[in-house]
Amino acid sequence: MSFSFGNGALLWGALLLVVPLIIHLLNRRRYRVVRWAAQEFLLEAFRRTRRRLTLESLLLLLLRCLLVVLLALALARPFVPSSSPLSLFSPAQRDVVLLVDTSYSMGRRAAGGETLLERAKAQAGRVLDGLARERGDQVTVVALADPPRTVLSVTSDLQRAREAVERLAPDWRGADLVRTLDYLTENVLGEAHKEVYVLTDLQRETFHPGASDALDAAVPAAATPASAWRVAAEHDCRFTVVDVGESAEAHSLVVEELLSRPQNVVAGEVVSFTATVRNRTSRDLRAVPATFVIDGQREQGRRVTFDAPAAGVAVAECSTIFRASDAARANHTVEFLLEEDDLPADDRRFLAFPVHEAVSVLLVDGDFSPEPELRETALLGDMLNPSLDPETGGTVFRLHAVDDRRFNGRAEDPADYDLIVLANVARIDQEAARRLDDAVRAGRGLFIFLGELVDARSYNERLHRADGTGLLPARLLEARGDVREGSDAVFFPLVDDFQHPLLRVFADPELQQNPTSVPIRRFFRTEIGPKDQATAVVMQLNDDPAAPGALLLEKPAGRGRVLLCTTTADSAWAGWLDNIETYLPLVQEAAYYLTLPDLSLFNLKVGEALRRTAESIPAEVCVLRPDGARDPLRDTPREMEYGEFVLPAYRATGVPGFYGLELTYPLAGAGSDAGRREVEHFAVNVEVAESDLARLEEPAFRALYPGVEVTFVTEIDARQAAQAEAREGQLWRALLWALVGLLAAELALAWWFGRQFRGGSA
Amino acid sequence: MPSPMESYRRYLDPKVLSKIARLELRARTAVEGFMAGLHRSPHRGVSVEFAEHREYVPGDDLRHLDWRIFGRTDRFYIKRYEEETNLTLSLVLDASESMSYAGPGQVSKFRYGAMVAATLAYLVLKSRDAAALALTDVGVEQWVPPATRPSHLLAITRAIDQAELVRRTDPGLVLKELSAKLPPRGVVAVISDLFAQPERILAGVRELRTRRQDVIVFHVLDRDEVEFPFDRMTRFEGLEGLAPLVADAKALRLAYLRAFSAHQELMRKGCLKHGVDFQVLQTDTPLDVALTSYLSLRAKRGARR
Repeated sequence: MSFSFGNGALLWGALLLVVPLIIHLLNRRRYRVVRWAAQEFLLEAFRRTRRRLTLESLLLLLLRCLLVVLLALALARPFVPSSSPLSLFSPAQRDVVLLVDTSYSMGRRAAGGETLLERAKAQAGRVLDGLARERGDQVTVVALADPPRTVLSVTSDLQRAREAVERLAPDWRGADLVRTLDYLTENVLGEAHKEVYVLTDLQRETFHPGASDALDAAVPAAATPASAWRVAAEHDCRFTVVDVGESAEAHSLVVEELLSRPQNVVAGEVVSFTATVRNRTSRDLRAVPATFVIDGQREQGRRVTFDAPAAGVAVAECSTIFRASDAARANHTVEFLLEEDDLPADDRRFLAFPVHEAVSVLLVDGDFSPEPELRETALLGDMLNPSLDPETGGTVFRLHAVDDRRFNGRAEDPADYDLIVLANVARIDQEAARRLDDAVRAGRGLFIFLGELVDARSYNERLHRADGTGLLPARLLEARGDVREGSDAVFFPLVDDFQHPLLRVFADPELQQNPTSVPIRRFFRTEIGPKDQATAVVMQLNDDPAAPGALLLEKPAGRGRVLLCTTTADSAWAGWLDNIETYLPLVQEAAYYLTLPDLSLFNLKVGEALRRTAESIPAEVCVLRPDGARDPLRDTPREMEYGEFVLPAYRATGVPGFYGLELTYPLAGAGSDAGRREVEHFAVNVEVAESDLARLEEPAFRALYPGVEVTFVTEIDARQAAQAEAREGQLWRALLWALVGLLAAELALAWWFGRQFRGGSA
Repeated sequence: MPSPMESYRRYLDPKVLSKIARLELRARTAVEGFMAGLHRSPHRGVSVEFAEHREYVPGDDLRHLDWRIFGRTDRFYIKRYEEETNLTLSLVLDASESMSYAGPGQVSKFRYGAMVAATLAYLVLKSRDAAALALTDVGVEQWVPPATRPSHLLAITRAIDQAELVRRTDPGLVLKELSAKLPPRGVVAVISDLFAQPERILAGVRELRTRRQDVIVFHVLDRDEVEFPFDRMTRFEGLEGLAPLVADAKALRLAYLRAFSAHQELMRKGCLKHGVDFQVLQTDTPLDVALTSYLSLRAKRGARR
């Protein structure tokens, strides 16, 4: 049984209990002296009454001491937790949990100009108004967030609670109801009865997550909000949803996506940034102003305008060309801003991306010839560098062709290139296969064309491997088809999905027939084994309706990616030359696709940890935060197997914007990094889903969570708070009554004792 | 040593005496009644009653020789007569320590008792009766034999003056001792606070009664002892060697009053049983009032008798 005191200091007053004691003792010491003749009778009287007298005086003394102690105790305003048996003497103590939604939708400005979170704070304040510290009321403040967190653990210090609530700010994230409820169940709810006030805008995204994208089926039954509600409600608690939402339509435009086209930005090439903006209002908006800020050039930000149809999507676009010198920088940034609307959190979007000087391509030619025009890769090279003008050509793809002996002879390191193309290479030796494997897994692209020279066994052994861990997307079987003169056996590609990045260029219905009209006269049949789960067939062939052969297969490997074309790169087996309009975009898209920068390295969601590797250990690592603050990382980097160093992760990415990772290498360091200082940018963005302000109204809520007992209010009743105030009175009230009773008892006893003595003379 | 005149005045308040004298003049009968009450034995005249003979020893007054016996038997006998007075009043004044108590603004019980004794002695001597005084504590401390001379009053007051009031009292023993000493058929006035065991006192009284003494008990008390007006923490220092007591006086009051009145009641009843007058004298009561009321009461009773 534990006590708490509203005014613990007054407890020292209990020491005043020595006062009656002292008075008692002084009374015994301070007496009048009488020389008394009738002592005999007095002694006899004393003998007769001594026991009773002692008892009475002790009783009175005890009562008086008790009075003082009780008074001190009452003044100290003790209260006991509701679990204590003493709580019977104190009026019902309230144990309140304020569950405040801090998702960024709460940052929405309502009609009155205040944000929903401010409304929630005001309502929370009213709940706190209804509490009384002296009664021992307790409050816990928890953020309904992702991840949930305790803002203030259980306390009866209402002032602190007020301050904690006042400090709450939107999180720039969504809220995870399931996790929050689980968190509540595990950490906050217990034996004691709790009143849980959920202060929220009742956003559909929070209270019925995945309602739009039908992910429900994939979520395990135990983790649904409904079951989490039920588990939470099994505890002794009462849920009150305080709806601070705004049902009026918000003026809200949402930047859903910010991309560069092409995604691998190469110096000298035109790159266009496109921002996808969703108009969530029911009005058509004309000439919406927006700004692109490229590499932080805010003043010179490109201002654009666009039209956004009601409840539709619009695209804002802006183009630029990066110079070759820009490629030296680690990466670049672009920010897209709309003018602030009712929900400012989703009006900006950030993108960080690298700019390449060029894409270097190693063409390994199995049918090599000193004459470029006669090589197996001649046509492919032309497709990658279509310009005949050597001055302008070759700006994007810098080609280097070698024969397969040179490749197998380790004269070339695949890791030095962005993309490696194997064309009709007969076999790969073990060492070359290993280096190729390392290079691809470290992020390089590999494009494999087959042909007459290919030794399927060598490929299967070295590149596919029996356990499916090889680079080759599928086992090679036998070649099918006939390319000899007079054979008219021809197969055509089949395309299922024009949304694949490789085929998106043909998505236009007018162009859809292009890839399917390329005659393929011979190809390798493949077998996708049970271990090749990662393999995807991009294009099939119409050779066998029951078991169609594959023309183009892809497989991710590590941070890199592998494409396998089961026919030749030149026109030996396929009619590429006559279908340049298909071959050229396909090759180009494939080359871009295979060398796509891994933007997920630089582009994070709010709260995701910022991670990076370095090739040597930097002397100093410092994070430049969006607000300009510098936050040094002090942990030691960890070495990984590729000889790279993993820098300590930086997790304080709670605010969207650009974060810079400043690496300073020691002057006496290794190689080219010595003394270098570089800043790599990371873009941190809010989750778009949270910007959907659609609400889950009370009836829908009740339908969704049947059996969960929840009270809905939009306002905390001030009268209820007043009533609570009126009920105020805690243990000290009982103590005061006891005090009054004791006082009366003391007076009565003293009178009674005195009356007996006076009685004789009456 | 105070002069005889002074001590005489100390115990005989002229105002009291004059009041009593006036009373005597105004209501002669009352005083006569008192005296009559005192004279329980019949009048026998002065020096007329023969009592006994005894053999002559040299030095005896020859006036008292019985010549007739000498003539008959040729032997010298002295003729002895009854006491020459009509009455002897023996005043037994308690001079124990407890009598020294005096409530605030009051005379002590001893002094009050002394005044009673002196006044009675004066009255008795005035009527040519004999008065004797015994100052007592554990035993008879001072003994002033009976005499009828008016100047005998001085001897009585001088003896009172010399009392020391330091010892305990044992009235039982004292009364027994006195009963042997006192002439028979006298009046004995015991003036005491009677703070002793009632049985012993009553035993002494009985002894006196068997010697045919008329006994009057004047119970001299201070008002404090009767009413016990203390209400604070008080240290009562016992006189006569009794242990001191520190107590809340208020708390003890009832029990004290009970014990005290039980004692007094016992005394009163005991006295009544033995045909002894029991008169309470409170020191705050004016002496004349106390005495005249008692004397007139006694006179009425005597008249009835």
